[in-house]
Amino acid sequence: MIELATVTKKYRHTMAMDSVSLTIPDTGVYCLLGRNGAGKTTFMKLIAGHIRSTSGTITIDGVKVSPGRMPDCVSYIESDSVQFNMRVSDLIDTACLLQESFDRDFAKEMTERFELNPRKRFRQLSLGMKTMLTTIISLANNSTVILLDEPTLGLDPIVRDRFNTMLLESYDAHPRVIIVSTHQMDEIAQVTQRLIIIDQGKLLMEAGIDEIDEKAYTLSGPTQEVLPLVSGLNCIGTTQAGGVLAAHIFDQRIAVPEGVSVDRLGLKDFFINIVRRENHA
Amino acid sequence: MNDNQPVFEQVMEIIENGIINKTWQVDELIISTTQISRLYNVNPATAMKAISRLTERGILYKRPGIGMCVAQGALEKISAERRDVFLHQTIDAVLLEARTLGISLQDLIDELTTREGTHSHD
Repeated sequence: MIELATVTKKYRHTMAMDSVSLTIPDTGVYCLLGRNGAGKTTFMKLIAGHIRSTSGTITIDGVKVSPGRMPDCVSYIESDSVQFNMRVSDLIDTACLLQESFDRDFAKEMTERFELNPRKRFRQLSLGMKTMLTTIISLANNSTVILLDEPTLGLDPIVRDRFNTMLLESYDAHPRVIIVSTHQMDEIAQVTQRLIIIDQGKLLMEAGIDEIDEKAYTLSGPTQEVLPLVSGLNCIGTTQAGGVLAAHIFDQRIAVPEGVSVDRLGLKDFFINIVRRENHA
Repeated sequence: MNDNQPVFEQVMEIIENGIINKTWQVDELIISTTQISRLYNVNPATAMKAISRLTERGILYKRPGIGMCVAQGALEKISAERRDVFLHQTIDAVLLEARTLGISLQDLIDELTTREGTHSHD
């Protein structure tokens, strides 16, 4: 279990993390969403103990995390991660030697699936493939918390799709906490169980993907028909044009009269509305 | 998947359809959540939610160590529910659209009678 209690991280002039309290009680694939500069990397580095919080505490299974006590059970993978410039096969062999419970079969199968040439040296790989290899190595070891910072950056759509499948397979085989940050929202929506949305260092929302499937929708139709329906619902944003109103709702579904249509609100549009609302507040 | 219903409801319908058209019979194993998520490109958590809702409604039950199976009387339960929806919502929608388009009730009845006539000759 990971627990953040009013965690704040201040750099000289910026508030990178602003009194964030959050509990991650169970294993699962969590998706960390936020704009560039929202504090996603700070969030991950704090949990990994790579940086010290200005105030507040972070604990993993009751043990306090800090740079002086970096938790062994956590792997943090940056999108521009660096490995020794060895051959792919040698990097895997080394990881295998260093960690008893390293799942060599998984690592081998995944390098084949992602067409990672075992004879290539690390620096010869593209950005996306470097991240992929590091991700494979961390999924194959016994970390109970895996933090992946934009792992799909620089990957083509086909590889991204295989990546998501790998994440699910790895999670099914070894359930644990996997936190993934990404901008590819509608893709990660197929995989993740819960979402953590941050903006300007603040935690905006923590919700299950199934809650968004059920409760995030758009009511659209003639303004005078839609407006009375919206009152009493949690409206997260509106768009209006030519007498037609589209209201984005995050609440219970309601029965609508003829002439008003209901559409599911995708994760990307949900995110845009939630962040926009926060910036206007 | 369509764009207006929550995905879990659509997955529930897929499973219900499979029970109605007898793809899965009473006490038989249904498709697994992993298979659902692969086949229809939906989140496994969403597939799981659909299955747990159907279990709550007594359509499915869990056979420990095996998986989710079709419950006794599931077909009848689904048919009764769908019948109810058809008699109310579907017919309401047809009547409303007919009114909007200026189709009289008699024309509608005539149309239905002719249709039913041709179908029964099939």
